[in-house]
Amino acid sequence: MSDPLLSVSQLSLFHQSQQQHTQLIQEISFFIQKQEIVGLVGESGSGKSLTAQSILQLLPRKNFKISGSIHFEDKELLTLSEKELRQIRGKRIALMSQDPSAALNPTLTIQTQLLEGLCRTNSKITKKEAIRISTEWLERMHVPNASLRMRQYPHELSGGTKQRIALAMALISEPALLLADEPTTALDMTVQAEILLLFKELVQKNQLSVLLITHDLGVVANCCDRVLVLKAGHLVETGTVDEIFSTPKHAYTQSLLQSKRNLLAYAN
Amino acid sequence: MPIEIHTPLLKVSSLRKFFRISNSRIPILDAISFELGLGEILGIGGESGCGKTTLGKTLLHLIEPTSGKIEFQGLDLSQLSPTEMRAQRQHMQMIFQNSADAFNPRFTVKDILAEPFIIHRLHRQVDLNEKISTLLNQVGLDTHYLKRYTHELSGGQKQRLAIARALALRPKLIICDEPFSALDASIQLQTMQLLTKLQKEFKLTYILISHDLSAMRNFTHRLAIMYLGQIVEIGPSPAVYDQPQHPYTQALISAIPITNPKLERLRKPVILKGELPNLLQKPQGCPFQTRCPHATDICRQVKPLLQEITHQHFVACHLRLKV
Amino acid sequence: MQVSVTLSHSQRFKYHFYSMQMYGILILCFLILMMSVGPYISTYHYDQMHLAAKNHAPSWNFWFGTDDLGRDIFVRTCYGARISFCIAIATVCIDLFLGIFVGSLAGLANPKVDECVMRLLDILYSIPTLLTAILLSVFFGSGLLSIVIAVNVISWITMARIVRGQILLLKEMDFILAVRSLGANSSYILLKHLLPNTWGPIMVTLTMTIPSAIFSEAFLSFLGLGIQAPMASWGTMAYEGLPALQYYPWRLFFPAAFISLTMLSFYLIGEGLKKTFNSSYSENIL
Repeated sequence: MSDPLLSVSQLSLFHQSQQQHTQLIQEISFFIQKQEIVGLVGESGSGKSLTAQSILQLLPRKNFKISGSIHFEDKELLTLSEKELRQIRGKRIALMSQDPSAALNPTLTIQTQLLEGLCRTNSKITKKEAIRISTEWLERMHVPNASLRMRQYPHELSGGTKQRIALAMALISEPALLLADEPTTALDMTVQAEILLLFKELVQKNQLSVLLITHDLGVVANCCDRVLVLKAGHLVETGTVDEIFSTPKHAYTQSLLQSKRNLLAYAN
Repeated sequence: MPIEIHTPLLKVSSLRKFFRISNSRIPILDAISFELGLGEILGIGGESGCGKTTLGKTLLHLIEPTSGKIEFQGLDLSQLSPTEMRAQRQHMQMIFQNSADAFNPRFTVKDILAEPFIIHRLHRQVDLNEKISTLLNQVGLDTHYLKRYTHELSGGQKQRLAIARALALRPKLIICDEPFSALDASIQLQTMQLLTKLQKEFKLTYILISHDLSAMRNFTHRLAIMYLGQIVEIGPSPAVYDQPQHPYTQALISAIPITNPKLERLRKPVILKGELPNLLQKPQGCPFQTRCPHATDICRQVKPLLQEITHQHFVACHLRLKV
Repeated sequence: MQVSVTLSHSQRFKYHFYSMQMYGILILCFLILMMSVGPYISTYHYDQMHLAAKNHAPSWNFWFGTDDLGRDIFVRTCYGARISFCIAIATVCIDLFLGIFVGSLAGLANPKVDECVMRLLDILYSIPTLLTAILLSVFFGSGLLSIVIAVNVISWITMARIVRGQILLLKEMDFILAVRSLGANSSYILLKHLLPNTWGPIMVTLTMTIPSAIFSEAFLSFLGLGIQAPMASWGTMAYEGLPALQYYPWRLFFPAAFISLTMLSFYLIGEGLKKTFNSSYSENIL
C-alpha cells in the first residue's frame, strides 16, 4: 500500500474563551489514500465540520488551538506559516460547504469567480483560455447551458446548480483532496443522487480523494469506500463501508445504524 | 387504518395561486384538487420549487388563493369573514420548518405555549399553567424548560415545542412543513413516534410536506407528488412507492439512497436530464416534458389530467392513460 | 456548530460594566446632574449681571468665567443643558409616537398604500430645516416651541423609515406566520411581536436623532433664529462667544465642549446598544 495522501495523527482541537477551556476534538487519527472517498459520519455536534476546518486551519487562532500532526503530500501542515498554508488551501486541498451561497459572491458573475480561482494557480494563463477551461469544468459538472451560466449571477441559479458550480470552483485548480462538508444536505434527492455520482466519477478520472462529511448514512452507503465514525470529538470506529454496515463493532456505530434502520422500518 | 373518504375533512377543488412579478403572472399552484378524510395522513412530496410549501400555506389561508375552493369541514374558507376565519384557525394548525425564525426570539417556552390561549381569549377560563404543563408532557418535554428561550433548545426540542404549540387548541388538522429536515436519524424517529402517538390520542389528521421521501412509506396513508405546481401522481403510499407510475415519481423514488452498500452499488438511480424550466416560460402541455425520458408529441401539446390507473391511484401522464 | 449559553447575572454585569455604553451613560448622568443640581450649587442666577466682572476668566468665584454682560457662564451652561434636555425629550416623544405610528402603518399596509406614504415622507424630508425654522418663527415667534418643531419635523421621518424597514423584514418570518395561523389579528401581531422586536433599531436610531436634534437647535440658535436673550442655550452662548474668541476663549469653549460631550455620550450609548442588539440574548461560542 502506497503512502496515504493525508495522514492525521492525534489531532486535537481546543477552544479557549474567557470562561471555559474545552477540548472539541479528542486525539483522532486517520488517513486518506489517493483516489478514495472517505465518509466522516456523526450526529450534529460531533465535530465533523471542525475536523475539516482544522485540517485547513481555518479557525481563528485566537480562540482555537490545534495539536497533533497533519501530514499531507510530505508536508506537515501544522508547522506551515500562513503564507505556505495559502498555497495549500484551494490549490491542493479544497473545501466545499453545505450552503453553496456561502461559496459564491452574490455580486460577481460565475465567470469572474471561476476565473479568480484559475488565475491564482496559473498566473500566465490568457483570459480566453481561462474561460474555455472554466466552461469545460462546468460541463464536466453536468451544468446544462454552461456558457449561459457563466454570465449569470448566483441568485439566478437553483441550489443544485450552485452546488455544482461551487464544486467546479473547488476543483478548478485540480486539488488532490476535497473536503466536502455536508454537500448534499440542503439539496433535493434527485440532485443529491447526481452530485454523489459526480463525486464517484471525479475520483476515478481526476485522481481526486474526497473526505465526505455527512450525518446521513444513506449517502455514505452510496458512495464511500471507507467510513470514520465520530462521536463527541472521539473517533470511535473506522473501517471499509461494507465492514461498518454489516459488522459494526462499536456500540455507537451500531446505534447509529440501528436508528437509521428503525426509522426506515418504522416509516416503511 | 380505516379512512372515511365519504366525509372528507378537507376538500380542495381546482386551487390556483399566481404570483405577480413585474408584468407576468407565475403559476405557483395550478389546479390542485384532492380530498382528505378524517384521521388520514397525506404526504406531499416533491422537490424545491414544486409549490408544496405554498400549498400548505394556502390551505390554511395564510396565503390567499387566486381561485379555487377550499372546504374545511364543509365550510368554504373563502366565504368566511376575517373574524370567522380567525375563529376557524383553531381547528387547523401548521408546524413550520425547523428554522431559526420559527419562534419569536424574545419569548420563553412558557410564553409560546400560552399564546394560543391568549389569542383566543381562553386564558381566563382555563387554568393556563395546567394546560401548558399538560402540553409539555404530551410532547415529552420537561417542565423545567418553561423558563428557557428557544435558542437554548436543540433541534429536536424545538420541533417538539412546535408540535406542542400546534396542539394547544386541539385542532383537527395539522399541516407539517418539512418537520424532519435538519434532524438526525434518531431524533427523526422520536419525532415520528410522537406524531403517531398524538394522532391516535387526539384523532388528528395530518398533511406531511417533505422533499425527503425516504421516511414516508408507512408513515403516510396516501402520497401525492407535485411537480411545478401540479399533482402528477397521488395514491396509497405503498402503491406509489412500490409501483410508481409517473416518470418523475420513478426518478424520485430511485434517488432515495439505500442503507446497504452492496445493494447501493448494484443500483442505478434514474438521472433526469435538464433542470426545472423557468416558471415564466412554463411549457405548454405536460410540465415534465423537458426532462422526461419518454416525452412524445402529445406530451408537448396536451396537458395530462389526473386519471385513475388502479384503485385510488391517480396519475397525470399520457403514457399511462388508458387508451 | 453553535453552542449558545445564557450568561449568568454576574457575567452579564461584568460584560456591561466595562462596555462603551457605560461611559456614555456616565457622561449623561454627569450632564443630568449639572442640569438639575448645578443651578442650586451656584450662588448666581442665569440672568444675573455683574457689570463689574465682565469677561472674567474662570476663577474660584466664577467657575467657568463670565460673559460680556457679567453673567456667570457656569450657571448659564447648566441652564443650557436644560434646554437641550427639553429638546431631547421632545425628540423622543415625537419620534416614538409619530415615527412608530407611521412606520408601522406603512410596513403593515398593502404595497400601494405603503408606496404612497413613503413618497409623502420623501417630500416632507426634502424641505430644508432652516427654511422650516424661519417659517415657523414667523408664525409662532422665535422661541423654544418653533425650534422644537423645526428640528423634529425631519427626525421622525428617519424613525418611520427604520420602523417600516424592520417590520417589512419581520413580517415574512416564520414565527409571524405561525402566530397568524394561530388566529391572531394584525394589531396583536404588531404590539406583541413586531414592535418588541423592533426596539433594538428604534433605540439605536434614537441615540442618533437626539444628538442630531440637540445640535440642530444649537446651530439654529447660533444663527440667531433660536432662543432669545436672556435665556441661555448652548447655541446662543456659542453665538455670543464666537466674536470674542480671540480674547475670551472660555465663552465659546464651554458651550461647545458641552455640546460635544452630549453628542459623544449618545454616540457611545448607541454603539453599546448596537452591540447588545446584534448579539441578542446569548453569547455564541464557536
